[in-house]
Amino acid sequence: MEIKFENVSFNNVVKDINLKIEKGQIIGIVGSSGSGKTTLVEMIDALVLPTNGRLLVGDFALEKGKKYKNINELRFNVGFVFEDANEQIFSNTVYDEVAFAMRYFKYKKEQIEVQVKKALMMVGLPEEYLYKNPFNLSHGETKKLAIACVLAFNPEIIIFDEPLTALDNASKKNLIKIIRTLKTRYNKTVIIVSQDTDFLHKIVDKVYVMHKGNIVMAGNKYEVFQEEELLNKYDVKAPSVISFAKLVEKKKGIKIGYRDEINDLIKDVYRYVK
Amino acid sequence: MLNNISIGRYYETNSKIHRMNPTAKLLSIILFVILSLIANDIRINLTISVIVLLVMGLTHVPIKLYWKTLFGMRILLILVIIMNLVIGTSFQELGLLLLRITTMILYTSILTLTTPPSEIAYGIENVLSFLKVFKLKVSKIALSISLALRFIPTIIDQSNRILKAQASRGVDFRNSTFKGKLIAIKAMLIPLFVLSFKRAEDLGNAMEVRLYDINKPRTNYRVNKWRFFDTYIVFMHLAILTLVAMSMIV
Amino acid sequence: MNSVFIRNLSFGYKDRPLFENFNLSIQQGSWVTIVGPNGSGKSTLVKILVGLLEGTGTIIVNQVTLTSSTRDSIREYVGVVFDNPDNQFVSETVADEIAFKLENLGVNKFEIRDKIKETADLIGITPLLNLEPHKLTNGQKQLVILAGAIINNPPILILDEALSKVDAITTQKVLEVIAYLNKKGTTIINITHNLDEATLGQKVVVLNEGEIILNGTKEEVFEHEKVFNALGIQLPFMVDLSLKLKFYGLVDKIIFDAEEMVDHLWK
Repeated sequence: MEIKFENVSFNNVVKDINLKIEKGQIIGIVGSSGSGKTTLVEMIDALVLPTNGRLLVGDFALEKGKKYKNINELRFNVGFVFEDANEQIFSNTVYDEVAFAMRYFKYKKEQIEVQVKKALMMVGLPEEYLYKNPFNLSHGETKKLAIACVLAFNPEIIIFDEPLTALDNASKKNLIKIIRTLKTRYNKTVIIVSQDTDFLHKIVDKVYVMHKGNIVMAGNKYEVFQEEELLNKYDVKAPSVISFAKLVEKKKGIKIGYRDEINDLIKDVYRYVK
Repeated sequence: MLNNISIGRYYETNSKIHRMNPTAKLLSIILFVILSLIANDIRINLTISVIVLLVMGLTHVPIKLYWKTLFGMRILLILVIIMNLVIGTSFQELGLLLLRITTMILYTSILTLTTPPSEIAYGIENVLSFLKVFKLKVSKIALSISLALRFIPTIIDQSNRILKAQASRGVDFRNSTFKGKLIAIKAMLIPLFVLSFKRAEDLGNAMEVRLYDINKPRTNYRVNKWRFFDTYIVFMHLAILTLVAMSMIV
Repeated sequence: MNSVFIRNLSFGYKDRPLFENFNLSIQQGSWVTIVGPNGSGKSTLVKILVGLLEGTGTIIVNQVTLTSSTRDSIREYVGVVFDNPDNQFVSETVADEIAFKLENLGVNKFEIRDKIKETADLIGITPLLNLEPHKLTNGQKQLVILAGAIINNPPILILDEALSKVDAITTQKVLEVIAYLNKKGTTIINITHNLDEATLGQKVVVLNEGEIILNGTKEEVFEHEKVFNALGIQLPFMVDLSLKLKFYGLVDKIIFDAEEMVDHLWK
């Protein structure tokens, strides 16, 4: 399922967006508060309709003024993990919560149990959690639950809106693992909205920077993340690994290369110091 | 989806009305309501309306905001017109009725446009303080009003987010069966309630830690001292009310 | 002199104990960052210090022993910013919110007006003074709460995961304000999941399940790489970099500043 924005606007929050996201990519969207990034991704799930232009999600065309009786056909294929999972949880058990979406997306009864267990396993919640009270989970577990709720109905496109808010380090590492698996094993399209460029740098392919409703920078992660001055202008911090390499270049004129991980950076530093 | 309540919200200028003590304003509006209810004569009502228009000018608030308030009440006004036409009220009586309702709406918007909600709550608390005699917890009522005013927009925003979250999981209120609609409502209300309880607890902590004590007197730094102008205004209301009342008895 | 002195604190929830004979001192004027996994008791500790929760043991804050009658006077001299902006912001405008504590203390109107202006200018939120909270971003709300916490110049400022729901720009601003306050002598206690914040300030305390695992200067504490790994806590970038370069013999200590590091590597 391809996503295509054609001159899409939403009031003054999102302005004239032209963007194509191909299947199977991991996309990062960064920008300061108020840049429009959340509204942009909400449009993909038809939670907000364009006031101008046309948004194509697979075969579904979203435009101003159209009425959609079968919007669930789109929503069945887009999973949205919201920033605050507490704004969604309402069931008596973890099982009911994870199974909830499937009832609307017309899964057969026998299949539901299979999917629930599979989803919980993917996020790392053991089976003993099945009948626990979802309101009694820790913050990290709640986040996993929210992700499981989305994975259960197996959408093609999965959107994460600020997934790291208030998350501890162990859960962060787990999230990286899940997102990588989604792409490599399940060929999902993953879109992540986040301010944490260090996190994005570890997993995304392409990056879009938003500022005041416009997409101001676009490209693969190395292209975008190395433009440190431009990023700072848009209130975005470059990933530490790249920032350090740029500092070395600026101060000593040595180009040590832009790496993904700190361990690769170390090797470069070692090479250039000796 | 759900929109902000913005009829007659506070508009800041430096007028004499703005600088009045809120208790004086509250007393005035009570007297005005009584006056409005008893005054039947068209001449008296016209005079009152003119005076209200003059006071509106005194507030330095743009007329278009007053018009907006009136316009916001158009459904009420239309209903009144229709109902009275059905009953068969004469045009004169209907005209008088509309004049009175419109004047009342405008007077109330003078209050809401010139007084921030916290001051209104403070004024209500003071005016009702005589009820303390009857052991009613006035401070608590005032606090509830303040908090409600503060949190209504926030709760609306949160509800919108909850609706979006549930919609993304397939909840489609419009195209659901009756049972489906019930589940949709449940899916909206439960997170809202749970989050509200957490909010209440956190707010209590945040207020306690800053030494809020409902039983102790506290400064309200915005509230203006009671000045001669306040006494003058309240006295004028009382005087007009008395005159009108007496003229009706005689 | 100690800002905070805790001795033999015991506290637990219904089914499980959390703190048992817990001891901790925090020196006046220091900036301490407290880190630890979820459930380690960091936030509980804050609530106990300001009397929102009650444990047994001796707790002395600003040289005043915490009892039910001294609670209010202790709270007067401690500023607290909690994590959820909406769940702290009580008033209908920014200015009212900043004034809240002073209003509760019965301070006179004119003094309050001056202090509002002074504090708003310090934090840089003067343009927001007449705005309603629902028109602000979470970051802006936290700045307002911070202003309200420091308006009466308390000698201790506690941030309880105050930056967890806030954007990078606001985080930067808050840390600048805190650095300024700390220079002027305010004791800072910052509780956070973000280890980069621990590279600021002087001391670091690592908590786990109600126990102090590490307590010392940041230079001392960060040497214990294995502890952080065992607890699943990710080291701040510069610390991670320093320790790894140290392993290869390229540096001999932890360097927190990137420019200093570059100069050190290529002398």
